[in-house]
Formats: sequence, structure tokens, C-alpha cells
Amino acid sequence: MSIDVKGLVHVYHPGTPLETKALDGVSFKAEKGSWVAVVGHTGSGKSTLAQHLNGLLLPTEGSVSVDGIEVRQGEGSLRKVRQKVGLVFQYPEQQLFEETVFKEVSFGPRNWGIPADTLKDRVEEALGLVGIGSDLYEANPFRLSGGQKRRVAIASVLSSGPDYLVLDEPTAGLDSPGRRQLLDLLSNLKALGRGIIHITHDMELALGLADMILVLDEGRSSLWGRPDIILGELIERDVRGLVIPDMVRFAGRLRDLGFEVPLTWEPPVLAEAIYRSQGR
Amino acid sequence: MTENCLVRFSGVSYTYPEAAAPAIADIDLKIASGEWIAVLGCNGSGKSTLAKHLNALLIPTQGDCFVNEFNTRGEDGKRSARRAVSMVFQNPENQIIAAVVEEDVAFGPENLGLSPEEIRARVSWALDVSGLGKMARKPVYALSGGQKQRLAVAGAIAQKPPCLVMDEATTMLDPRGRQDLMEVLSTLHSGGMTLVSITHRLEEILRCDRCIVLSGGRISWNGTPRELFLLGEELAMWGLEVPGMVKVWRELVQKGLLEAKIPPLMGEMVEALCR
Ligand SMILES: Nc1ncnc2c1ncn2[C@@H]1O[C@H](COP(=O)(O)OP(=O)(O)OP(=O)(O)O)[C@@H](O)[C@H]1O
Ligand SMILES: Nc1ncnc2c1ncn2[C@@H]1O[C@H](COP(=O)(O)OP(=O)(O)O)[C@@H](O)[C@H]1O
Ligand SMILES: [Mg+2]
Ligand SMILES: [Mg+2]
Repeated sequence: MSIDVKGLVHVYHPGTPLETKALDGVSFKAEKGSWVAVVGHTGSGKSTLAQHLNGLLLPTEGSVSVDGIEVRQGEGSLRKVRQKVGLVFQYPEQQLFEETVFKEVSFGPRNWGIPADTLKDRVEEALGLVGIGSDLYEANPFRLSGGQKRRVAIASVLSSGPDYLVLDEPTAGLDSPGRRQLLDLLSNLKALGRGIIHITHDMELALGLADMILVLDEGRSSLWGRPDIILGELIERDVRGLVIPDMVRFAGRLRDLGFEVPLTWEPPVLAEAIYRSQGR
Repeated sequence: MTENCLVRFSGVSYTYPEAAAPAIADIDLKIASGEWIAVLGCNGSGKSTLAKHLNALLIPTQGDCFVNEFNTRGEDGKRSARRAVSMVFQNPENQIIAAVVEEDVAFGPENLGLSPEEIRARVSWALDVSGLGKMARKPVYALSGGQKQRLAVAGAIAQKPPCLVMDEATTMLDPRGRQDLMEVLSTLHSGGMTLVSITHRLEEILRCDRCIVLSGGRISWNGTPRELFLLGEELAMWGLEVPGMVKVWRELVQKGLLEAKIPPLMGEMVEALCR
């Protein structure tokens, strides 16, 4: 069970002066029960890719399939795919539209025909998972603070119980407890067999949590591999828009000076290694 | 202090229409001209609400807010505040006005009544430092999320305002873009611009002069970034997390390998460890 992307090309406004090839032959596979991080410079095609995974955009060339169902017009493909794949947009305002938080989060499950008696539980569970309390159920989503909007947008996708979650910069605008809570939640969902596709600019997060990392560069999949492999590549060569995490650079400089420390992005691991190395 | 005080909050509270509780309460705060101040705190702690008082988008429901010693309640005060302070919002969509990138950036300078040459020069400078140099003629709807955020920043700095407020305006930038923007802000700051940065990423406050922490709409703490990093449980209580490098620094200090007076910066730490 997986999302399979093969040779995906997306051209915006073909045949006009605005023609832009946003994706140019992207291939990768996101399996159920795994976490794929997608990173890349501003404008590299991440959000365009995200919208292909649940059929909001359709391929100009190449293909996307979800558990063997090809994403295309006709034969109810799009409805099936959208039930399987939930997309959390880059800006919550792109997603929110209901008058109250409760209605917003009920929309998905109601649309998929969840019976009314379980609907309330589903909605309350989803809101609980993102830390939105009952005091905000009747609030207008557009009058919430930025981080609260983000939480509601995530809950409104969770409430449908999709098999795959595509999240476009979901930690942007969250405070640190909110961010931890979300990442724990995603780890749990992964352990329960859901597939996580996580677009992020936070390299430490990608390196620390993902099973596989896809690096986009001007619409091409420039790197695809395990975090340790990707980190090695980042150290070897310049990748547009990306930087080596501070802590890895710090560890690198200490290594050059004779310290025996690993190239890690985990503070306690690095501190402990420095302590041991210094002790000798 | 008063002569170079750009913004002064005196007992400011603000309650949104129909809201049960105030979003900010009893705020007393002075921002000196040329200062770089960070505003920190959890989601919903009142950061944006506080920021919107700086350019008179919100008027206190209690207390007074002064910009250049004009009360923002009066017409003079509103005008003064709007001229002195430019805001970059959390969501760039809320402030992009024109349909084409360069027209949007020109909007502010045009409103200032600058000459056409000066407008052109400002637009090209702002686009350049925001990394949008090649996109001047692009329609706004064809921009990616991060490009829109860059455009919002360009529009604000093109006005060369005395004070720039960045309300979580770097959330969608790639790491390189974020570094570049920090450089731009540093340069503007050296040139005398007052900066207010609202962020959840504490690595971005290293260069600030001072930070304040909001919790539940009140100012809980006020001090330098270095003092903040040395705090203990309070940080978790306010929902703040120090950057990875600072965590390593703290552990090394605790293990007695570094003296606490060494700052949590890479160069200084490497040097101290090699001694
Ligand atoms: N609706 C559109 N019409 C035309 N071009 C577009 C449109 N949306 C995006 N583009 C262009 O396609 C490219 C990829 O955009 P996309 O939004 O996928 O980037 P991204 O990787 O998500 O960037 P960011 O990190 O800034 O969000 C960019 O060059 C962008 O300008
Ligand atoms: N337009 C609004 N109407 C009503 N309440 C609002 C509005 N905007 C924000 N609030 C509320 O005011 C409080 C502070 O919000 P805000 O200043 O946006 O917080 P922050 O920027 O620190 O996340 C929150 O409880 C939020 O829900
Ligand atoms: Mg995007
Ligand atoms: Mg805010």
C-alpha cells in the first residue's frame, strides 16, 4: 500500500506567457506506515506536488497513484483518492471556510457519510488531538490567532481519518508545545500504519523523524534517500535554499579539530560526545 | 528616555468585540527608537494583538498607546503611527494589494509621495534584498507560499519605515532565505531602523537587543536574549524552546566544560573548548 509518483510533470498555464514548469519529472514512493519528508527551496514545487497527491491538481505528464488507484478524471477516482489522502494546506486560510470551529471539523466526516451519532465524538477527538478545547468550538475560525487556525485546519483533516496525511509546513506558526504535540501525534499515526508526507523547511525535523527524504530543486527530485544519506550529500555539496543544520556544522568543526564526535543533530548526543572526547 | 522613545504603551488592555476576556491586559512597554525587540509567547498569548497597536490598527479598549508621543486615539496619532510603523503580517495574503509583484511593492512608496525615480529605485532594491529580483513582472497569484511571504516583506521595507514589525513573517522561508533576511534586518537595524520581531524560533532572536515574553495577554518577562536562555523551568512554562546549539551549550555548562560567561555561539564555543 503506497502512493506512487512516477515521472510527474506539472505545467501551470501551458501555452501562455505565464507558462511555468513547476514539477519536472518527480518520482518517489510514500508507503503506509512510513514518514516521508519533502524539503527544498522556496518555489521548488513542494506545494504543487502536495496538491497532486490528493488530486487537486492533475499531472501534465507522468502519474500519481494511491493504493493502486490512478489519480485522474472519471470512474470516481478523485473521490476515492480524496478519501484516502488528507491534505493540510500551507496557509490555514486556504482551507478554512465554515462559521464555527465545530462545523469546520465536522465538514469532512459529514461529507464522507459518517453517521451523526459518531460524528460528534470524531470531531471532539480530532480537536482534542491538536489541543483545541471546547471553549473554542463555537468560535469563528477566522477570528482565531494564527496558531489556533493552524490547529483547527489540521483537526479538520484528521477528523476524516485519512490513510495518508499530506501536511504542507504544518509546524509553521505553532508554538513549541504545539509543535511537539503535532509531531508526537504524527509519530503515533505512523505507528498505527498511516502514511505521513511532511513538507518542511526544518532540516533537523526532517533528519530526525523521516524514514525517507525527498529534496526538490527547481521542480526536479534532486535527492531521494534515508536521512543519513541525505545529510552526507548536504555536507558534500551545496543544495539550493538549504543549509546544513547548525549543530552538524558545529560537530564538523570540532571533528576537524580532533574531537571524536558524531555528525549529529541531537543536542544531548553531541554534548555527551564532546564530554567524553574532552575527557581523554 | 522620552525624546527617543518611539512607542509607549501605558496600561493598555484590548478586548475584541464580543470576546469574554481581554486579549492583552495592563501592558506597560517602551520601545526606544533604534531598538530591536523580540516579542515571544505561546499561540494566543496576544503577540499579534499587541503588534497591531503599534500602527493603530487596533486602539486600546483601556489605557493609551503613544507613537512618537502622539496618542493613537487621535487623528494625528493614527497618522503618525501609520507613517512610522510598517507591519508584515502572519499571512501575506492579508496585505498583498496589487496584481503584479512590482506594482505591489511600489504601492507603499507611491503613497509616501516619492518621486518616480525614487520609487523605482526603492522597488528594485526591496525586490533584490528579498530575493524576488527575477520576479518583478510575475502576477501575484502565480507565487509560491514562500515567495508571497518575501513579497510582503519587500512591500514593507520599500517604505523604509522608521519601525518595522515582523509578525511571524519568516515561517515559510527556506533556511537560506531565512539567513538572508536576518542579514537584511541586521543591516536595516544598523542603519537605525527600529525592529519588532515576533517569532517562535529563538535562533532568530540572537541579535535582538531585548525580548519580552507574553503569557495570557500580560508581559511576564523582559530581558536580553542571553538572560532568557539562562532561565530554567520558566521557559517551558511560557512554551519557549531554546535552539539546539543553546541546548548543547547548556549541557556543556552543566558538565563544567564551558564557563557560563561564554556565549552560546558556535565560534566562541569552539574556541573555548579548544583552550
Ligand atoms: N497558480 C500558479 N500559477 C502559476 N505558477 C505557479 C502557481 N503556483 C505556483 N506556481 C509556480 O510554480 C513553482 C512551484 O511553486 P510551489 O508553490 O509548488 O513551490 P513550493 O516549493 O511550495 O514553495 P514554498 O516553499 O515557497 O511554499 C514556483 O515557481 C511558483 O512560482
Ligand atoms: N479578530 C479576533 N476576534 C476575536 N478574538 C480574537 C481575534 N484575533 C485574536 N483573537 C483572540 O485573542 C487572543 C490573542 O490572539 P493573538 O494576539 O492573535 O495571539 P498570538 O499572536 O500571540 O498568537 C486569542 O485568544 C485569540 O483567539
Ligand atoms: Mg509551498
Ligand atoms: Mg499572532
